[in-house]
Formats: sequence, C-alpha cells, structure tokens
Amino acid sequence: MRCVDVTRELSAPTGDRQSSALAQHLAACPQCAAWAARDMKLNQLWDATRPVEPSTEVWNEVWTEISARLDRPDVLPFREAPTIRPGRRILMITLGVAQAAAILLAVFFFTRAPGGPQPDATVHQPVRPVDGAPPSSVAQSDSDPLDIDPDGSLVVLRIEAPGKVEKTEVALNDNSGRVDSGFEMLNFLESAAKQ
Amino acid sequence: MMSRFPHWPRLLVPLVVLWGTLWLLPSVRAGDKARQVTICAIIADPSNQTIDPRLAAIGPQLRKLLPNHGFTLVDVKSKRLNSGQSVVCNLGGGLTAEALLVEPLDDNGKVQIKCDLWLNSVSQFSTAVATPPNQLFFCDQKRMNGTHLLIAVGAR
Repeated sequence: MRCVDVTRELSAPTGDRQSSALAQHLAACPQCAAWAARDMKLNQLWDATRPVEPSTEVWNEVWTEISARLDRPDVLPFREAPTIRPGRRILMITLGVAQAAAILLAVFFFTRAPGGPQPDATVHQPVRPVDGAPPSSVAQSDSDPLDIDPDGSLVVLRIEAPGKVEKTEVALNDNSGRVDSGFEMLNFLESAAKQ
Repeated sequence: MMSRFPHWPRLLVPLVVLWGTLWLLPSVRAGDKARQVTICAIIADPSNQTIDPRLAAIGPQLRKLLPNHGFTLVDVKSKRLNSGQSVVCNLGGGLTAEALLVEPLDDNGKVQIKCDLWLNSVSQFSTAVATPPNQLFFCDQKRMNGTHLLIAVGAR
C-alpha cells in the first residue's frame, strides 16, 4: 500500500482494504503511524465531546412546528405600525394642508412673475404684420399709452412732432421657424449693455 | 412595537418647507413688480452705409427697418427697474434718452413704458407704450441733418 492509500483508508474507511496490509504498512512507515495515532486521538476526543443527537421524535416535532408556522398568514415578523396620538395626527394633517396651500401659492406667484405665462396677453386682437403696411398716425398722451402688439413684426414709432406718433410695423421674421427677430434683438442689446 | 426614533424630526420637515415657502413669497411678489428694461440709441445715416461692428449681429434687421442706411451704436443701457424707476442713455451734447417703467404688468398682461428724449432737460418727445414683455420697439426721430435717431426699448 502507498502512504496516500493508507491515510485515505483511515479517514474514510471503505472496508475494501485488507487490514493486514494496512497494519503492515503502519508498522513499516513511521509517518503514517504518527498520522494514524493523531487520527485516533481526534476520534476519541470527538466521541467524548460530541453533542447528543436529537431523537427521531424530536426531529418530527420540530418539523411539525415549522410546517404549522409556515401555513399561518402572519408568518413574517411585520413591524407594528407606530401608534400616533390623536392630537399629533391632527397636527400632521394641518401641517400637510398648510404645506400644500403654500406650494399652490408659490406656484401661483411664480407663474405671475416676469417671463412666466401671460394669459392675458392673448386677449387683444393681434395686429396683422404686413411689410410696408400704411402707417397709422395717432395722437399720444401719457394717460393713454399706445398699445402695440407686434405679433412677430417690429413696431417703429416715427416721431412726427411732439404728441404725434406714426406707428409702423415691419415684418422681420421669414417664417423659417427661427426665434422671433424682435426677441433676438432685445437679447442682443441687453447682453451688449452688460458688456 | 414602538419605533425607537422620535416623530418630531419628521414633523420638522414640513415646517421648514412651509417656512421657506412663506419666506420666499415676498421676494416673488417683488420680482413680479420688477422688469429688466433695455434702452439703446442708434444713429441711422443715409450717407454712410457702414454698420457699426457692435451692431453687426442685428444689422440685417436694422436694414429692414431703414433700408440704405448705415448704423452706429451711440449707447445702450439695461437695468432692472421697479415701477416708477427709469434707465437713461447718454447720447452726448446734452441729449439723453430715458425709458421709465410705468406699469410692470398691466391688466392686459403688457408692460407700460414711457420713452422720453431730453435736450438739456427740455423734452424733445415723449411717448407712452403698452407692449408685450420680451418685445423690442423703436422710436424713430428724423433729425435736421437727415440722419435718424433710433431709440430701441424693450422689457423682459
């Protein structure tokens, strides 16, 4: 027998090997003899300290209990919902309503801010931008501002004389889908002023 | 089972949000009454077709406004104004152009602006306009020497 066969047989006995051949190898090989001695001591220690195995009845009881728990609907350990005192509940509801009202107010004021939607701006009848349209002369007074609604064109107020203004609309946009030219000019001049 | 953590930090969050929102509201209202108003003075000259390099980007639009003219930028100013405040362009020679914000947002959703031209504190012309926001308009005054003084005004 080789050493590896001896140690394997001692660790997991198969019973196939002849005990005489095993004993003969152990007598001739000090390393395997020492290994066999350690193995025997370990087995003795395990036999002395191993826990008592539960009996078949105990195993049956345990599995019966596990099956019963699995069948119950409340098998998962849900955390109980925290109890809220009525006073605190009212406070939380009040705060929630106040928060919602504040958000609505903020949205309302933001939409009225400059640059936001101007729903009233569409109320007026738009002036049709016609390139070269006949100018309209109007008498001007401070209490009655000249109402302009360029609708894509550029309004030019030609000052004829103090108090006399001639309104002309010049079509700038070429309907190419680009940004309004008047808006572009305003952006350009504003950025030029900041330079 | 009671939670180990107290509830008051959760109550604090909506309180902070509410306080922040209420704190913001006055500034929002103030913003509602303010406009960024821009005023610009340009000289259009029929005898000189040159376009000021500073106006090159809007040259084609100016050409549509006054064909066969050259354009020179005199001054441009932009300022955030509240109602009753104005922004002034100095044109030199005692001439000033002024845009006064009359009404940041009138009942029709328009901005009311008064545009004035002064020569040594004497009014040369004055016009009040109600215009949609983000729209530029021009005041054009022909001068004795044949050139035009263009005053562009817009508010956002």
